[in-house]
Amino acid sequence: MYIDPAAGSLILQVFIAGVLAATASVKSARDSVLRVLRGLFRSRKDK
Amino acid sequence: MIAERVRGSFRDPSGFVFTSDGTLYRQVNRSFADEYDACVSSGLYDDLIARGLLVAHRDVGVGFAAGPDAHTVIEPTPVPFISYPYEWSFGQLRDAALLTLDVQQRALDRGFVLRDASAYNVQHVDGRPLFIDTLSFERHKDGDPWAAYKQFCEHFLVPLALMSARDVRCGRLQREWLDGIPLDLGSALLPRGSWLRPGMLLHVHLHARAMRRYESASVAEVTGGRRIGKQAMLRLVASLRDAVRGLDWRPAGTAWARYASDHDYSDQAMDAKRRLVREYVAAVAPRTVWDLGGNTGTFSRVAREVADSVVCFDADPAAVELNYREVRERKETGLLPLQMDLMNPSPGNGWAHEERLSLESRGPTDLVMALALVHHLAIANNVPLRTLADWLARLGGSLLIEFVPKSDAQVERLLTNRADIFPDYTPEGFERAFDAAWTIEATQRIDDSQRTLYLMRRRDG
Repeated sequence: MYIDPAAGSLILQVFIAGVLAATASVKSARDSVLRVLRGLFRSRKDK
Repeated sequence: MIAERVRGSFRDPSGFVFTSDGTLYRQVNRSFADEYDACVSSGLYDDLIARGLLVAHRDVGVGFAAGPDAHTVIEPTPVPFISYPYEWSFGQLRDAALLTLDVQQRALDRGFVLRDASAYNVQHVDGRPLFIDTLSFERHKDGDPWAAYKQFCEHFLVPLALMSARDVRCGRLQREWLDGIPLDLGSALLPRGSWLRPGMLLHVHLHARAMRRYESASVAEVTGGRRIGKQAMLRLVASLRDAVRGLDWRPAGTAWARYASDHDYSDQAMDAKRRLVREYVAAVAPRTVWDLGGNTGTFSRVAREVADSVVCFDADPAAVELNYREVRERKETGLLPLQMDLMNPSPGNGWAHEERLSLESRGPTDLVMALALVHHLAIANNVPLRTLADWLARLGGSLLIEFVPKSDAQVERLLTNRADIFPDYTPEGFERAFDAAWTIEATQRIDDSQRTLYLMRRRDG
């Protein structure tokens, strides 16, 4: 089927792409911090 | 070979669907040759077909063309019964949405994208959604947004959100808005709490506002030339998937959803009815059966023991949903539950009344079953028995029908608060009314009940 893409919808996607990329970055950073903290906790426990 | 173009197949310049000698074909036009060939050579079709996501097809060559400018013609595997989103239960629409996103993701993985995301590109076959529009794919131009994003939201996300968060009956709005429920309407009808759900906020509410604000804007100017990479596109698909998965609906509370376990039959009567239905269906040996008012599909399953394809129609969304869930859980094949109000069955709809077929024009079927249904149409809705007999004769060649007399508790309940204006609603009146269109081939009282089962054959059939 041929459809007419609406301008507002295309523009919103650019905005959403930014939001989702930012969210992914925050999640990735959070996961890294959690990994480091878990590592520290484990090494202290091992001592 | 006389080819007849399917009337609803006119929007896409890349090809069209036609029938010839009872077989369905799809012509691929030369204007789409590069995209089609690229899709074939990429292995995308093979991958999707192997996974049971896309309808299988065979290339029969340009010799089968039904119009000018043909590149080739394909013959898709037939779908036993074409159904429409406004006839699906919540779960059927949700599964169709997830299938569309799955197909989009796999297409992106191979460098393609869905050109459209219409719910009409999906059919339900053997308890699973199946993508049927083979020409929906084109090569993905890196950086381009998804042209079908709005269509996906209007065809799937908005109706599902309304059915889940507002009222499951909102699904019927799809019959009015064939190209999806408009975003602004969906946004206005959804409860305020939906603004707090990220999926609804982004894909429905902000989407509706963006549509209004940038109605005639230039995309390049507003976005400053920013593009959407493949990863961003995949994240968009994942976000839509999360939004769809976050929507749920529990089928409960309606009288019909409880009917299978909360009816007036004794165990003996139920067993006798099941035995009789099995016997009568076997006598007809139908290939296709339509079970009208089939509730959660108890007798559809009996018919399926004989028939290849059974469609179970019911007006109650909870009954249809429960039936669909059972089909999925038990991996049943050849049984399709659909929502249909027989007092207002699906009409011919869309452009020239021909884009979406009426229930009647999707027939006839070999056998119509109308069990415990007549009193609802004749007494609760005043349909004259003669009119009912004529309409059923337009649907199928054989009829398995149950007459429920006025002395039955169900009919007594219907007449509790209204005048009995149905003097002809008697076994004799029923037989008289059906005599013009049908021949009674067999009849038997159901043991331990006052109800009678009739097997009839259409007079001109």
